Amino acid sequence: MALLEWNRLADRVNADPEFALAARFWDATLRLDVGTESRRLRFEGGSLREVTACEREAECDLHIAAPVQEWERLLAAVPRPFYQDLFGAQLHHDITLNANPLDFAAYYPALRRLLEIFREARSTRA
Amino acid sequence: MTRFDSAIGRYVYLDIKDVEYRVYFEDSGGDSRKIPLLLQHTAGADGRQWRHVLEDRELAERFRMIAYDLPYHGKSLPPVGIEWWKQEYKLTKDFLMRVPRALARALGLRRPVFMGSSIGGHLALDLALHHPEDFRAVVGVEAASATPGGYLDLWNHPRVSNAFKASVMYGLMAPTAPEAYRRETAWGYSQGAPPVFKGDLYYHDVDHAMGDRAREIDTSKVAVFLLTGEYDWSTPPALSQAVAEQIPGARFQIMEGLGHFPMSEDPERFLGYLRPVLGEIASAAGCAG
Repeated sequence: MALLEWNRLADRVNADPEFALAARFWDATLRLDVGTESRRLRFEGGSLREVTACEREAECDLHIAAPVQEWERLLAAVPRPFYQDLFGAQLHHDITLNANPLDFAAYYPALRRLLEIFREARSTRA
Repeated sequence: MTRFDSAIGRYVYLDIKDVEYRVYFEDSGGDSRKIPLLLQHTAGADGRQWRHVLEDRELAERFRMIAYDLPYHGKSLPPVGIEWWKQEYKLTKDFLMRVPRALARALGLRRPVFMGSSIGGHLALDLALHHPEDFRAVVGVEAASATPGGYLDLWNHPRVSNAFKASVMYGLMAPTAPEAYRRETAWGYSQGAPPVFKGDLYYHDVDHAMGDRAREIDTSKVAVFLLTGEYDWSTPPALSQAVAEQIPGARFQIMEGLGHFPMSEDPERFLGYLRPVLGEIASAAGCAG
């Protein structure tokens, strides 16, 4: 089963009020490497405009990479210790995060909420 | 009927290294028949983190609990007597150790119990090492002998708002803790003066580092209890366990379902771990109830 229902993701993200506040004015591309597959999320004006499959080295502003099983642990309904948050997870687990530090910090609240939305989407689907 | 919290807040003037500080504290009340318990908040935050503990009726029967705001935090404004706006704020071990001791002297507290989290947890170890005569016991919450690596410019950068540190702190809590309390804890971080969190981390990540000196702590003079949340990725329980093993007679417990801010993220769960510890301290003081 795919990590997420990618074609339904934008609707879910854009309907989230907390994300809307945290992501205001955000223009960026986020690449998610899930095992051997990659997805590119394009944000414009704080909204998720499109989610597309992409090449692993596709250009992006931020990128999060992890093996499939690490993504599953990160997005578990009740994550185990140190998987509950991206900041801590990339310090302690096999999860890589690359971004301009200032852009990352400015929009960390949006990133954090985005992962929570992913988690909720998986829980709902399960 | 109007509802009030039990704790009362007021200001006290403390002289620390020839500078007068107007320090805010909240007091659960009581006289010398109760064991005094000083409560130290985390880096970049303030005594509001202890609001649930202050209101615990069971603890208040035996303990006079005092939660204070360090200078530059919460209601403890920067001192009037120095031009602090021309200096980088940086919390040192020397200064931090003086605050609870000065407060205890000013309030006439005889060998209080000290409890603190994060910088307060580290401070518990430093006080036990350097000033065992001043405290009957210390409870170090999220404590370790060293936690390097977090003293980063990103915590106080002109292009980064307080929302960043608040969001990271949110992620330091257990995902099962009550949502409203996690948000409240993070809210406090969004309110802190921008330079303060990073400045506090100077103590937490640099100045505190104890090396092997925890071995010198004498628990026959000051009892040491360490409590660490299993979800705390900034002070992993393994670090707290390691320092506990260096201290003969120290007690350590992992708190399941809790993170870096146990007293504010999930007070009921935290009190379940805390009450036996304080009960043991009270029994040692001959005040078992």
